[in-house]
Amino acid sequence: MEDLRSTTVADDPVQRRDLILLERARAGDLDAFNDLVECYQDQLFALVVRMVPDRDQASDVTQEAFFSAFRNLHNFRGGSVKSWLNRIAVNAAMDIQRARKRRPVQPYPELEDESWQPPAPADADPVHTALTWERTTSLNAALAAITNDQRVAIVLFDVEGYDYAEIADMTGVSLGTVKSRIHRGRLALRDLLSDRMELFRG
Amino acid sequence: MPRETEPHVQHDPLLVVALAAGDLAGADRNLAAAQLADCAECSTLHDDLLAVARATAALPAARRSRDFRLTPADAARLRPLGWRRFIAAFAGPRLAFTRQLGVGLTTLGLAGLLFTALPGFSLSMGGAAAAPSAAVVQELQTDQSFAAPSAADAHGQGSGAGLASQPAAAQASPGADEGPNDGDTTGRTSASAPELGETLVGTDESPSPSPLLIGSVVALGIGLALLLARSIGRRMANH
Repeated sequence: MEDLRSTTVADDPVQRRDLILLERARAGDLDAFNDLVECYQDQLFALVVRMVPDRDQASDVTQEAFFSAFRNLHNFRGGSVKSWLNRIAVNAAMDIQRARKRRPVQPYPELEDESWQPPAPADADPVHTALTWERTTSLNAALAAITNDQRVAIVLFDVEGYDYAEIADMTGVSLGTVKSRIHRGRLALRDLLSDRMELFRG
Repeated sequence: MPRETEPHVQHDPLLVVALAAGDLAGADRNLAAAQLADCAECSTLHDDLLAVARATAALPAARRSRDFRLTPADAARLRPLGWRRFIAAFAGPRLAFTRQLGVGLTTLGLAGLLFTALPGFSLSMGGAAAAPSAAVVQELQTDQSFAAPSAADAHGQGSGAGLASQPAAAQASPGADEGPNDGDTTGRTSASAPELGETLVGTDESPSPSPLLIGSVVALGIGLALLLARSIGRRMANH
């Protein structure tokens, strides 16, 4: 069996751990694969839910992404396991977005529901908490209103911290297209939030 | 306070966006910086873009509502073993070409079978069929030992010669006019020669299906098998 560790950056302990788990998963160890799932399911779900406005669909997409990763363990050719999982999740989310174009639904209906947001610390200032909640709600609504391509690019760049080249590789477009989507997406967000910019300037 | 030297509507907002994103260099960066210095609205736009980008980066992560770990049943369904794994491979991306291959082979097989089923079809198509038969008849008339057993067939003694004997018998009279008149052998020879001409393939003594028929059946079988395997593999993957 191909030794993945020799083909990738071995200095990062997280990367080494991921590769060891992936090798064991390839050999048939389900617990090793589930250890990988435990490491990345929070981050993957947070990524997908930004791209797929419906929370239940985002859960389904995330599950399907892990199913796809398990089916295609033999197709991993080295590099970052996290990036590989993110790429699978982005593709799954984009597939759902294409399907939803034919069946539009109300975006972010759960914005009214606070239970799916992280709870505020016990010693938090209530005014600050309320402002943060207001800012988050407004920004999520604006993100839902821009185009799918712009939203994917902005989420991957600003939220997930990927660079232009990585985003281009994940989404299958050119570097210039990624930049254009991010620039136009940010301009669109600003236009959508123009009447509430005081929440962001403070 | 910045002085406006030209109307804001003439300023390119995407230039300001690119500056805020740090994607400008050299002359473009200088131009954008000058635009910011001269236009209050562009300056405000620049600051707003930075604020939105910071807020986006600080968005709290939504909490997941369920556990995405796989169960043993999930694993068994996703990575089947044995013959199921072989069949499931046909639904994968590596063997995606089997769909086109299966369709092509099935089409070829059906077309070949249709051709072989056409009345009067031979390997050389249409009216030319009679000419080779006549040439063969001429050749065979010189071989008496070959003609005799065929004459016995023409009288219906062979079990497989029923179909062959009927057109041969029907043509016995016209055949007598065409062939050389030479006593009793005339009818036999004439009867046997058209029979041989008519049944180039599939006589009782040497029944041999045409290569086209064999090839068509094989192509059809393989094509249908590929399509069936792919269909079963996809059902297993989606179940």
